[in-house]
Amino acid sequence: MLEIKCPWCGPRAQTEFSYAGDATLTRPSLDTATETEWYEHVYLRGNPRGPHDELWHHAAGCRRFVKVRRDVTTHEIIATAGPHEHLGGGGK
Amino acid sequence: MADTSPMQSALNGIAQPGDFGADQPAGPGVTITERQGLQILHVAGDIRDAEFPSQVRHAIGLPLPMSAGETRASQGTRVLWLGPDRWLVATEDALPALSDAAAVNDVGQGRLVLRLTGPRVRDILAKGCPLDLHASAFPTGHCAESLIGHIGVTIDCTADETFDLYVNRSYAAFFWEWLTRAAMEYGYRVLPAG
Ligand SMILES: [Zn+2]
Repeated sequence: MLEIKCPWCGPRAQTEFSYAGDATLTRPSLDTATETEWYEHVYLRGNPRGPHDELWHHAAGCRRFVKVRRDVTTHEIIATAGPHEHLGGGGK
Repeated sequence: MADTSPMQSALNGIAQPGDFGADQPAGPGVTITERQGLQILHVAGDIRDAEFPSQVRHAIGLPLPMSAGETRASQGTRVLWLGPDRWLVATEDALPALSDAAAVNDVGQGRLVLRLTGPRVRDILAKGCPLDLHASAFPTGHCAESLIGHIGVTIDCTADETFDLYVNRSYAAFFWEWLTRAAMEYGYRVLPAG
């Protein structure tokens, strides 16, 4: 099991969290984005090896979203931050 | 505001007073009492809005706790930190009137509140809770929202080896079964609700 450091609650068990997807995506413009851009935004994902930024929801705790930089090969959690904050450390 | 007339316990026909489980010469490992008649408010607001904390403090007579797991208490009233913008107010007194500065929900009729006290209470809860419940990590006056037996529970350590648990009412029967099974090996005593 992972231990995720919530920026508000401190280290908590993974079971208190729900995975909430890729944190590197930017929503296309509602006014100008093409159908292809929406298709890519909604459906297409990279499958990187190594550090990756993702969102987790502290559903059974403070109910805040948390940004997590996790190495998807080793499960090491490199850094966590609030959803709008910048993560330190390497990787993307 | 909501109807605050006495309502039927969520444990009616499920819990009965008495001693159960293993026979312990030194007494039961835990004593369980349902707390009835509590007024419970879920309060949300933005602490950057200077009016919000001061108005709440004025209404309930206690400052809002600002750090994770912190609680504030006076005779009959407890205020629990649930998140950076959410608090739980539980009081034996009349419901405080809170102004528009806060988003307030009366959740009292939606919660089963159990008070657990005894020498094995931490061992029992630890069977189904991912938190570190050792007294050094979860001392008196500390609270947390977490999972016990896979369901969301608000946990409040009100005194030495004493915990108040706030469980969503619809989970009452399930939670009672989980709790009493977990307590079986230490022996448990159920007191009449009060
Ligand atoms: Zn949290």
